[in-house]
Amino acid sequence: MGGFLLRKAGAALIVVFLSSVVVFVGVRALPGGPAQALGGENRDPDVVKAINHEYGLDKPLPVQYVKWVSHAIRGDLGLDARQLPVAHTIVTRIPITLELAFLSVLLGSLIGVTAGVIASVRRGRAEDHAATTFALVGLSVPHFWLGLMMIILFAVDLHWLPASGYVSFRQDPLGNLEHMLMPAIVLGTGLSAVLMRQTRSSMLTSLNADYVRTARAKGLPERIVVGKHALRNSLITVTTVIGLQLGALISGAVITEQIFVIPGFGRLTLEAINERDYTLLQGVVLVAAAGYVIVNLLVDVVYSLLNPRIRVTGSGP
Amino acid sequence: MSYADTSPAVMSPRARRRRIVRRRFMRRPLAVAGFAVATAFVLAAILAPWIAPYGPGETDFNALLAPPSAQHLLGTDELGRDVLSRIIWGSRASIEAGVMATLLAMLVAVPIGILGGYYRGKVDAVIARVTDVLLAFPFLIVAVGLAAILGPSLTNATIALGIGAAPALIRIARGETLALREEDYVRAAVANGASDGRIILRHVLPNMSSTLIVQATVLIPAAIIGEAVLSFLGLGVQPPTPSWGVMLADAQSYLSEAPRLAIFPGLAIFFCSLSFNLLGDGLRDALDPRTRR
Repeated sequence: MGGFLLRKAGAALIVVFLSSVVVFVGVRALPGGPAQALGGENRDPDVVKAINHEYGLDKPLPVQYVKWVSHAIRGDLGLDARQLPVAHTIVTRIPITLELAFLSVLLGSLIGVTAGVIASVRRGRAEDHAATTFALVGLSVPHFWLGLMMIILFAVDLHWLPASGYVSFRQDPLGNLEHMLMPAIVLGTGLSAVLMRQTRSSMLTSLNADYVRTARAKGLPERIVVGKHALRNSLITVTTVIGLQLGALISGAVITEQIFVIPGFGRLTLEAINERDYTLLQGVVLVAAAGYVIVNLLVDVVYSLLNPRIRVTGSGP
Repeated sequence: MSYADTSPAVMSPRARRRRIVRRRFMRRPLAVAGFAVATAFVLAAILAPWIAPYGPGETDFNALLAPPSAQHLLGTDELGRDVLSRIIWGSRASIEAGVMATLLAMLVAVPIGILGGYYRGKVDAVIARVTDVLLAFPFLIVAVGLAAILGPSLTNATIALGIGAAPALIRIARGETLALREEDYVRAAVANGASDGRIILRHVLPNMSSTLIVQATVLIPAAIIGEAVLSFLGLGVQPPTPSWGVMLADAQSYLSEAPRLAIFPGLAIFFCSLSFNLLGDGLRDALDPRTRR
């Protein structure tokens, strides 16, 4: 078990390191360059040179990279175009997106897993068809459009919920949830559709497994057979799917925050791009990539806890 | 259908299998409906100049934000442009992005995946790490970055969507190759002294084609939605070129006065991606030998 986790952690470290190289090179490939973004209209070569010198941009790329990474490890991602520390900006924005992601994963997995279990138990009946149709619609509907439709219905027409904006939970817990409800539903829909399909198919497999037949033969009530024996084993695959969906969740957060005007991490990414703020951009993308890798590492840990076979043999996906 | 029943006494295994698949597909009404609607969208994209009642940029200043009428079946937008015509013209960007991004992803990912799965060892380890790195970048971030580097346009959005879809596809092609390598006919070919290239082209690639077809029908609707997202954010199709995403972005300013401007283009995206998803589900069931009937 320890060896397995160590190997996983080592692989994750390599991925984070390679990602940082990709981010660094990618940002250097952007047109204009940081000096022009900082100098604005002032294209005087001497000024550009001075700015380049001040930020160490006249040094060779590997030197710049090492400097950037060694600072990044210590939590210093440099100053953005407005001379604010990038790390601080990111840290203030992340909780907002984390709350949004948490609520949508909560909603998505509650709806998705419940619908998947019901569909598998009632296979071929009306409930199954309803759940399958729901998943198909959830996969096909463009989520940002769903957001616009919900704004039209619940904010413009019915005035039940605010159309956009954000209130922090500490200031006004109820207002915060009111503002977060629609975004969380929008972001959670796709996840719930994917999870419903995954839960249904792995439940169908486990419901046909020998241990379920044994449990039934022992005379255990169906509730315990489904809940304890079949569902537990299906949840293993479901955890992996949640980890794999994280990339989609981050992408989804960018556009959801844009539509509902939520000042989170996703909106920060778009701001960095639109304002051509290179230091900010490379910080944001690095944090996104590292976050993705870390969450998938955690998923691997949970997976190995749920699946004893991996712990024993040290193998597995 | 009568000719289908007069089956020749001897059929090649492939022809017989194709017939079985077609028959199983035709037995699924939802899959057939998906196929029909998807075809309709593709035809609309190709035939836009002939079937759209108005040009995509044609303005009618006597009918600004007009509700649906006989002249304008779905009404007009804030510049008096016909919404139905713009949806028909907009299907071009969506279909182009959907198909081209999927083709690009296939061209990039399948050879890499096969290489990794076939040769295994160090090549595979390197490919697996690179795929992990690529997967760590959410597609929208990649797309946003590419749009920033190359400038926003439909082509660049398509490239971003294709590259974004590649890592997952690499994993699928790799997994398929790993499994196919162990098949008896591949071992037989190896024993016969067939070259690697011949084994890959004659045995591995054809046998993963059904998986790839199903993946394509999953990737196309994802890329269609992706294109709409990027155009909505101003990173894809640039106005005045019509695109469903651009129409939705414009509609945001009129959500209370003319909500239909946001409803219709979204419905187009929804039905277009739904049809490809239905088609894909039907194909997967029809191609999977494990599902009965």
